[in-house]
Amino acid sequence: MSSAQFVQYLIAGITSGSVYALVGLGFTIIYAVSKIINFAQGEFVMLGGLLSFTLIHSAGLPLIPALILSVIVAAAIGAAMYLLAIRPAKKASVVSLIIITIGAATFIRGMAGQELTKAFVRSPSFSGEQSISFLGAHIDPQALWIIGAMVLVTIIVHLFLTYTMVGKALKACAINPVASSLVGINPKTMALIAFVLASALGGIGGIVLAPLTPMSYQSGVMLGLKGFVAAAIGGFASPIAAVFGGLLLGIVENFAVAANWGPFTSSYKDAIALVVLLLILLVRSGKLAEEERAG
Amino acid sequence: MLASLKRNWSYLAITGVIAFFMLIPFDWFLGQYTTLMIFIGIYTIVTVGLCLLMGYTGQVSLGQAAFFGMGAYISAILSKTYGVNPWLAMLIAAIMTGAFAYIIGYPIFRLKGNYLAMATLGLGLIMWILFTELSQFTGGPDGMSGIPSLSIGGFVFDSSFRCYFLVWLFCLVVLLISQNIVRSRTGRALRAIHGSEAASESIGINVNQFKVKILTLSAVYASLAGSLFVHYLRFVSPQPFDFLASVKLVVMAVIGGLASVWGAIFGAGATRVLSDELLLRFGQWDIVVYGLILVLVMIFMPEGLFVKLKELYERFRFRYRRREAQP
Amino acid sequence: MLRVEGVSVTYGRVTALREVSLVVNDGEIVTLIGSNGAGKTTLLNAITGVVPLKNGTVWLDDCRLSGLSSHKTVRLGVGYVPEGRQTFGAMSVKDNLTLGCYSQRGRNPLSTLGYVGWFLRHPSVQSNLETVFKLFPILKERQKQQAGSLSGGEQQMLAIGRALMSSPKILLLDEPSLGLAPNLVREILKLLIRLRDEGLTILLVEQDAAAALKVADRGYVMERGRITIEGKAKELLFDDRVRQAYLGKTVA
Repeated sequence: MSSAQFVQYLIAGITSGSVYALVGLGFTIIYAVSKIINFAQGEFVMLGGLLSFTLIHSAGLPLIPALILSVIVAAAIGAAMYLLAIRPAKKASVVSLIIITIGAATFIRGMAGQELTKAFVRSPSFSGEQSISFLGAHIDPQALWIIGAMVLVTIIVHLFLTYTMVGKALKACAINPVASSLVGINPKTMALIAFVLASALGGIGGIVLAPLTPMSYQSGVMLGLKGFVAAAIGGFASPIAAVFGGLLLGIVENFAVAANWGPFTSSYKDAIALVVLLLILLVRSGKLAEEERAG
Repeated sequence: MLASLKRNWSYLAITGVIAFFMLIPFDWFLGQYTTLMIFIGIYTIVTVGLCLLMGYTGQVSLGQAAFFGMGAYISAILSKTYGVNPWLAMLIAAIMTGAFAYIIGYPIFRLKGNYLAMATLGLGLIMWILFTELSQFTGGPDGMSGIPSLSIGGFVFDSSFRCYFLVWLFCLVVLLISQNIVRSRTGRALRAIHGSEAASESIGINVNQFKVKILTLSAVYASLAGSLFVHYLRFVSPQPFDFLASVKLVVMAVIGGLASVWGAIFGAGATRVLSDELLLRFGQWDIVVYGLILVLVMIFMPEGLFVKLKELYERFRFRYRRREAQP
Repeated sequence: MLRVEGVSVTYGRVTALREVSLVVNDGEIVTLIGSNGAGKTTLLNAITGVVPLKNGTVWLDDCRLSGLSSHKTVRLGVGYVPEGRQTFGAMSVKDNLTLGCYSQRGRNPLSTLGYVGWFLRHPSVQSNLETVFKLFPILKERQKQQAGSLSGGEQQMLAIGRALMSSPKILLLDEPSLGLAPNLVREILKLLIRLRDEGLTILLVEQDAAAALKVADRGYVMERGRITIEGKAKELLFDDRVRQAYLGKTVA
């Protein structure tokens, strides 16, 4: 592998990894605050992509308002999902909550297929199609938008969690829900904020990804799963860990395909993430079971 | 006197139901629904397995369509590509799928809740990718056709009319076996303590082993259903085994009720009728409705729709009887 | 003034509290003593809304507390130092204290979503923080340290400090002496007297009945979910029943 190829694959890996990172960030935040794994997390990436495409093409909105509106709508759908599907299920078991979020995911996917578009669509690039040369590699400018968006969003989330009262309250609720309610923090409000935040993050991921990779209403499952892998690599412990998990997964995935080892041809790209997922789950099963019991 | 009368009544009712089912595929009765009923039968077999799995292990499988697909593909490849007798192919498929489930069972049941669900989802997707990508064996996304039908001697199950009886015979056997498990000592004990593992261990039940057994059984059921599916349709493609298929199976199980056997027919039936008869005419709204069903059933009756209906019926009957008893 | 009137609490079929009534007047320390499982913690949880009531009402001055969940009772002036301290271990001491006045942030969205430093500059928040640091100089020294790395006694001080940050009208403490060395226990109890003298109302649950009755003005004894004895702390100290059951002294 030449150094130009190396750089090419590395940047491709970081690019797709950035999207997984955004999804993984969402998984981690919701899990930390509410101990729920939101199986609908990937659908918000799909929503971000299809919404921005629809708003630009069908509604004819200019780029920036379309993007902002897409994030707002995705976040609103996240809020609606929490308020209508999760909150009414009082004292639901873990399995019930899994089925509920799967149901919500299925509902969102079906609605997107009906109301937005059934086809694979690709949004216009933010800044032209002219590729940029960098250390001998050719980089789609959209890849830079994706990486930039991920870095910016991660920094904003970090600042939000560290330097605002709500951010501290979210952290406190993640550490000890009972104690946090004793200082006046409403755990339900925190869960709502977490859902809104996570859906917005997913939406942003979809918006920046849509000009690079065509998306359909069915794209959410795989993206959600990869985001989960990102969060699982990070151990659901901290948002930053999830971001690194996402980047790692993206890089591994792209180099495994590039190396063309035995079965790992490009058609198996998705299977790599799945194998990583199973490996992580099985290797860490003991620890995860403990957490589940404790949580 | 009263008891024997009641027993006679229930015999009569069972005979009536059986007669009704026997008559369905005749053109002068409900012949136009034969195909629908075959699918209901096939999905009932898969759903029973999932109901047992969810009911007894307290865990959800988001990859049950993988076992269904394994049965279908192994049966199809053996009988078409290698010319194996379809019955033998069906048996080998069931054994292979069961063995696969048994082997993955131990590591996978070290996981719980969210992680187990995610692992089953991942397994299901891996299988689906294999069905699509191993195109030299499976025919890829286009699938493979010309799969031989099942036959006994010179009698070939090549029409819907004939397959109807075959599928429902299988279905009945599967339901009876499952009922035996539900009523067995272990089954009752596990249900009584409702998934409390510590309690089960303390009365001497090896919970993990039981879980793996139930998983294996559900995989065998799914595999049998998959074999019936391809030998009836004589065609197989990856589409009926994708992630949405696994979700649909969960919908069927959730409607049917967990750890309930006869509810599975109700769950599979309601779901198929909903998607084949009622919703297909309006485009793919069925996905939206499935989502709604999952959310609503889990919020309002997490023990399953059928179980809830049965409970309501029994409460009603109890009240009615009490009123009758009062002079 | 805190008034608990006929409060009952059940966990499933088990009755934890039966018709409990008590009063804590402004500016007094009232202690609740009793053996393990008598329902003392449940009563505090019921007052603060951590567990729901089956019957009865709880009033703080003119505000009805019963029926509210715990994050709301804090806003109405109930400070609760729960058993086992329950600090936010992975956060700094200063953050723990800052969160203590989360309920005081008011309706201004800027104080919630804005930079937390602006919020801390608010005069009432600042004076609360100064008060807490004056009471517990050690917390000021360690304000950047993670709460989880503090010793048991320091964590107890932090938990009390965090509760004081919400400017409570009444402070509820559940076994503040648990697991602490005797000299630390004395220090904490002395502090409670000091807080009382500054006008705070205190309801103290203690296992160590003798120590509690020495600092309290009045006391209640709980047995199996009921209040069985009540009276002035000094009288309870010499009550035969109390001496026998809780002070480990045989009656001569």
